[in-house]
Amino acid sequence: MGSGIKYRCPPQVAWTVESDGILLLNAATASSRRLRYPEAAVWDWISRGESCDRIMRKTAAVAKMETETARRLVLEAVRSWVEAGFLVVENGDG
Amino acid sequence: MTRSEQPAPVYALPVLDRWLVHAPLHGATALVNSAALARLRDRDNGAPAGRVAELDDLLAREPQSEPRPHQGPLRPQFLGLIPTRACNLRCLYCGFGAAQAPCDQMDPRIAVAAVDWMADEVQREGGQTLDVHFFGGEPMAAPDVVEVAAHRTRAAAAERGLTPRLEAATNGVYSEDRARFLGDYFDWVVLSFDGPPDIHDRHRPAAGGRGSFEAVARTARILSRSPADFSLRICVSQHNVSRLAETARWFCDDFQPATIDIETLQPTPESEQAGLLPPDPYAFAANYWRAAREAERYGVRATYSAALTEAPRATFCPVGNDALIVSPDGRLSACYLPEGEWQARGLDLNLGRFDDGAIRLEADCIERARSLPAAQPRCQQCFCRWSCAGGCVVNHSYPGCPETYDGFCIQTRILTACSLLGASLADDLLGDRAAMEALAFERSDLVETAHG
Repeated sequence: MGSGIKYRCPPQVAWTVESDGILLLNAATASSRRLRYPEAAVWDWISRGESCDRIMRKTAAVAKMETETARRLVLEAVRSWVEAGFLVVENGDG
Repeated sequence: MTRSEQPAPVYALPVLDRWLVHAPLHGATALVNSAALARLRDRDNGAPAGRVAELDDLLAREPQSEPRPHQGPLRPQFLGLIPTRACNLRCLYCGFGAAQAPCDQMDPRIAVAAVDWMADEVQREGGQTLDVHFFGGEPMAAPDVVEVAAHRTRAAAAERGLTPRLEAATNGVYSEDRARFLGDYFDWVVLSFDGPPDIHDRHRPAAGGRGSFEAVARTARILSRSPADFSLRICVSQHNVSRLAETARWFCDDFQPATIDIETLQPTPESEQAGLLPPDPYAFAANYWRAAREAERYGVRATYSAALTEAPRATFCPVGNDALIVSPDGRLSACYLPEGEWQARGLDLNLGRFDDGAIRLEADCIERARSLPAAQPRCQQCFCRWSCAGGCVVNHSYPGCPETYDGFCIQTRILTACSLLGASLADDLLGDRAAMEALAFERSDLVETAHG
């Protein structure tokens, strides 16, 4: 997740907001993943097209961590979601 | 006998040719004729007979204790956050000073610390729900603060095994994306919506003078398709009072809200300058009742907050009810109105402040806030003493407020009586202006010889 890269949720992925996180469902792979906090907040912001900087800043606030730590958390979460097919890269150089 | 030295109150007030007897702490209500009321008043001199005896037996039972303010450390039922005092609307009746409000936003670290403090308190008290409410200004004018605080609430609840509950009072004028966020993550949204375009845009123009109706209607539609429960809140002036039933029907048809909250305009210098006045209280009572009946046909509950009679209460005002409201600058108070509004009434509702990363509450400030709703001479002989309980401490029952009933009291007394009477008798009462006036201006509702 770097500058200029955008992600989108492919049509076969659905998610539901639960009281303690988010449940992702991938109909194409018949897989699911339950996101706890703070990853659930990261998913909310990515799915709504927030910029990378804002996501990292807000994740740091929610998780009460340094921005650099939040940056690593966000990058790792996004990498794993792309790997599992819950997100795809929409455009950019990445 | 209640814990106080006074006997539990029994009230009687005229309803057409009969009397409504109401003993809120006994949970007893009856409609009797004058002869029966006389027997009830005289019951210390001989046993009443027939159905009056049944009522007398009920009144002789042990009443519940008078509702009293909490004691000891603050025990807020919810945490209130004001992300900003700024607002993108210029409602003619705004009592929050939004037009002059600074655009400052709460530091998200304050919001997070406040949520964590509240979560710890709920856990320590053995509670189940972490309840966080957002007020303004317009809270969504500071969307990052709302999002961080909402997600932190959910995270803090999950960490402690609590159920998060998020509520927002909002004007609905923002993007579809922000409306969907509220619909997805909030449990209850109170959306201010005053009626059809001619009414709503007159009451609630945007900052540039444009109407706000279209944006609010769009948000209402998004909320109606979302998992969140939502309420549509109507502010009633002299302009829309006669259109409440029509508005309620339209709301139910188009938006299917969980409730419709109907409250009267609280006059401000700005609203008076704009020619906007509270409705005639009798017209409000009659039209509110019609709107409530209309909503009921759709299974939607209409509410007027001062006339809820389900359980006796010492106050429904946040002040005195252990509310904890955090202002954008980290001040902690018992009220979400701006500080200048309280100060104009000679009130200090501060409870402490967010300081050096921690919530610091002042015990003497907490006791001062708790004591305020109890000191209302106007309410002492009113049968709404344990339901309306004086209403807003800042706008209605402030120290030195008049001791005579005002428009708010009149409409509240009539509508409280209606809710106790039931639909058929309420219709009769509301169709008779003289009967409403007799009820509204009864000097004292107290039955003097109430049992101890």
